[in-house]
Amino acid sequence: MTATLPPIDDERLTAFALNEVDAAEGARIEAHLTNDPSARKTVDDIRATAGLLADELKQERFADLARAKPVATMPRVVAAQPSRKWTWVASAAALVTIGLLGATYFGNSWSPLAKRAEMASCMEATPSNVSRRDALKPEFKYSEKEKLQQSKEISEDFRITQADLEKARSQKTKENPSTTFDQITSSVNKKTQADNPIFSGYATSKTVPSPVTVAPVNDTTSLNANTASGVKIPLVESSTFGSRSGRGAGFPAIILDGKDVERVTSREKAPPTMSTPAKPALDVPQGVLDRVNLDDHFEIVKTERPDTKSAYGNPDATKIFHAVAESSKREDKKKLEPNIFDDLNRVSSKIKDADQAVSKNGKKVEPTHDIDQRTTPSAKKPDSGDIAVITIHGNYSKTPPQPPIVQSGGEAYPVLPENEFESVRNAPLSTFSADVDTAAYSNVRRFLGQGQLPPPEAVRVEELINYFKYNYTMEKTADPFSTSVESAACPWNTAHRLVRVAVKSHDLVENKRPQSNFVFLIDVSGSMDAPNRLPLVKDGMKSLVRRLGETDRVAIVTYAGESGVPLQSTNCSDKERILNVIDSLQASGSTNGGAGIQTAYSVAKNNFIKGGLNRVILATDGDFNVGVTSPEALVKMIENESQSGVFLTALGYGMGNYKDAMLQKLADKGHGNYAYIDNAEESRKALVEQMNSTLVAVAKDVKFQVEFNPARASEYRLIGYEKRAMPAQDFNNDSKDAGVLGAGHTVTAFYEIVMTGTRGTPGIDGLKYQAHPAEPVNTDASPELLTVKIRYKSPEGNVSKRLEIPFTDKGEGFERASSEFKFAASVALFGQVLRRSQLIGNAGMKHVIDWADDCRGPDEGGYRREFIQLARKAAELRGER
Amino acid sequence: MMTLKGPTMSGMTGEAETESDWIREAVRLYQEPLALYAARLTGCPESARDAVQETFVRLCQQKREDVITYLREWLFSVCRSRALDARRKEHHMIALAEPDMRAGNITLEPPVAAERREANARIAAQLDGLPTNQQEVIRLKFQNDLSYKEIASVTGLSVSNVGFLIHTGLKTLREKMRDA
Repeated sequence: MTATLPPIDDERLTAFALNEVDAAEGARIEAHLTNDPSARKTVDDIRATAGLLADELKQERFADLARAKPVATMPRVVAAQPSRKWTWVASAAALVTIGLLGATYFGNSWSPLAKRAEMASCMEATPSNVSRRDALKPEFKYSEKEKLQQSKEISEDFRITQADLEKARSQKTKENPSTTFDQITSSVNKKTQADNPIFSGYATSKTVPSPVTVAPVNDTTSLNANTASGVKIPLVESSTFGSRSGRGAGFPAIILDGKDVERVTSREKAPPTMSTPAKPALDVPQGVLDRVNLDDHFEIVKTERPDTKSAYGNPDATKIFHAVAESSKREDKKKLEPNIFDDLNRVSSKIKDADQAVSKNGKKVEPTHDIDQRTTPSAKKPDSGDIAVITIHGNYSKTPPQPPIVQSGGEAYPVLPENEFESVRNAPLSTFSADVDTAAYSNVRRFLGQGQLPPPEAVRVEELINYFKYNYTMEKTADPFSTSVESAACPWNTAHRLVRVAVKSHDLVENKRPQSNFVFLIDVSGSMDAPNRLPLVKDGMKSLVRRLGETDRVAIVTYAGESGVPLQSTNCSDKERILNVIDSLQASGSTNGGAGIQTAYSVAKNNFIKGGLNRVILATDGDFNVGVTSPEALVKMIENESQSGVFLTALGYGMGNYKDAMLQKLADKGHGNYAYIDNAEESRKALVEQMNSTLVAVAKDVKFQVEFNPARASEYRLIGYEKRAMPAQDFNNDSKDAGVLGAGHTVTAFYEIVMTGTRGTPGIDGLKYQAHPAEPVNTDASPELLTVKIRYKSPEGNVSKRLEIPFTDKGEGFERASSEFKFAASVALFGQVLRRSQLIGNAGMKHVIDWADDCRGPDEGGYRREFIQLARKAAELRGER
Repeated sequence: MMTLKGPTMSGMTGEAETESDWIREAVRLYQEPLALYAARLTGCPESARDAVQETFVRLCQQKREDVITYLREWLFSVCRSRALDARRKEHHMIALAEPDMRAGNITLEPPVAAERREANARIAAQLDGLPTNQQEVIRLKFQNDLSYKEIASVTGLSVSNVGFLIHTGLKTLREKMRDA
């Protein structure tokens, strides 16, 4: 049989270990391995080494490399170095600025190829009718009064950048490459003035060097050609750049149509700007600038300025960006010419009314996140067009000159802008799905533990809030859960009200818990051999087993190079034996997830307990090396298996959530849930404390819909749940899936509400073309503030049940709120601060700590104590004092 | 409901894709890996950025259907030749030797100096001690998850050469780790 085949030498073993052989060859080698323990060991070693190598290499960041030269002999830099942040600050500003400037100045001289490229990265998923040119020509003014040194440094970066830009351009135009930034700027200004004298006053303002200002005039020639109406120059006064309150908010500049000129100071108008429906359009530049602008960066700059001027200001990325931006414009022009005026007017009017959050066309503008979440009707696409423009910047801000966010192994987070205030009149219903995921909290903790602020997009406020247990006062009902609504003054804006809506499912009484048939499927491949992996798994398993009753069953299946069953399904009356087997688990070898899963399911099915909990609990670092099984086949298999009544829980261990998506998908298909685990407490929490809730669903498709009474509330915003928003009509549609609620779960949602008759900060303009529904707020109307409607299905059911809970606000102050309310509110604030919310005024970690510290309660497990520590850490990283 | 886009190209075959989307997505996904890869080849972040930039400009000249099925290979291989070009032009770096792509020429370099021992507890740090051609294929394999076949196409080596280089490199690393 082996006559014509290559000998199984070491090289073949390496290939086999790395899954670089075909199925037949794989089988042949597998057979060989069973007879050759030393070859088996070699394969295991190779896989362990490969695992380590991949782990470490995937944490490498270009930014780290770029700091040291020569690269080749540079020791690896993995850990976060705060000083890097500063460089990013400079480079982000430089890149954005120069990118925009370049786009303007070089206008048509940029090569068509580049234009194509630019167009490419510019466009959002949906082709939109909105002219790119309308969307946002942010003008950034980088001013940081206290830190002149820094400004100087930045302008140096600019020079480099500029020289490079020139170089790029001279490939085509052979222009003098030594053009300075000043020259460029003044050319821009002259051009601007010539095109539209109205601008002269602004345009001549000194733009360099120190607070560097760039007025990205967008492609003026083409604009004139098309509209003959002038230049749009966003102007932003940057007096607050770097100040805590104005953090980044003002940068998304005003877009002007025609002859309008508007000046915005970021301090005064920015937050409202951010709250307009057009926010999506502003979002990304804001992201860029957030990083530039963050206080923590400045703190670091102060203390730890790097001695080398790194090349981060190098414009290569800018070139990409530039190219991208440019071609998109061109492309759009082609496609969108007919709509140019409409779009212009629409966009500008939206943005112009910077402190009024309603678009003049009277249509409610869909919040951005809808685009990810729903099938957005095409009629609404123009709004998504606004977003599209931003996307460039967003990409950009995340590309080579990477901000100091270490995203391990290519973590990708969907970017969802935070929910804005909605007018009760326009949108009286707020609908969302229950969410009991808590992964974001562990992830945030991981970042903070590494001495870094998490990237804002990784912070999902609702997951942070729902991480904690709350002892809400609940009325016992016949439903599988109780609800509780409480209100108090909104602590970060006392003119507003904060309303907490919560449901808590009933804990299963221990003896009523159904019998369990658990099959642990443990990844014991080499990559699990790290302190934060297999040992945590074992620890959590033991804690769980100790709590199981005598009638419960446990089996252990391992997988690595081969799958094995170290423990056949065993009755928990023999706990000693189970614990011994757990202790004996060791990591080594490779990963073949597919085979292990098959074995685990067959063990589970062989010991199926009717009416019991039949679960496969997968613990892995996600490093699935599925061998001959493709990921698709694996998912398919799990989907099929779940029909048999055996569900899957996936627990991800170890650093990075690179493989999150895969595990999440498996858990989804397996009717299960997924948790990301980064420390021993978390492991125990996932496996023990939440055993019931993780494993026993008491209700599914749990949806919330809150209706506000316009007589009481004029505006509201839902804090968090961006990911879970649903169209109002889906609430009553039983075919629309929603979240599962497990035993002992608590779901908490906060609304910040502007009461009717009070002046809300981000006010909403009245409708211009639509009669105001004869205003007089009916003061005889119901005193209720809102009604919470909940729909859910029983775990087996297909028809939903509907609950309705009216709520009247008693006007309590925050101090008098329950401690559970206060703690939850502090977690909500924590998340919003980390998300760099524009809607929380000057509130910071200090408030989080103050409020949370008062309401620790009994704090079983010390979660709240840990939370306060995290908040302190975050405060430190943010440079809060 | 959740739209978590993994860092795979599968995200690029979605129905909502537009002409431009795929390039944008490619930039998003590959900018960083390419820059890292190029930096290792050129030894210089600036020229690495140049190489990446040029790579994407070239990508824009391609028809989507021509490259999409092997986009990753395409990007790495274009980026590679850009980076090697850049290195030839700019001699400002203590260059890595031009990778000798023939497997026969592998030499094992002496272990890195003693003062770096501590850092060497990390296996990736050990990589620097390997011959550059081994480093390169190992990075392509473990940092970027390219298959042997893809690596062969990127580097112009044969698949079996790639296998040999990775095998030899891994073996050295394992020995070093044992000794460390």
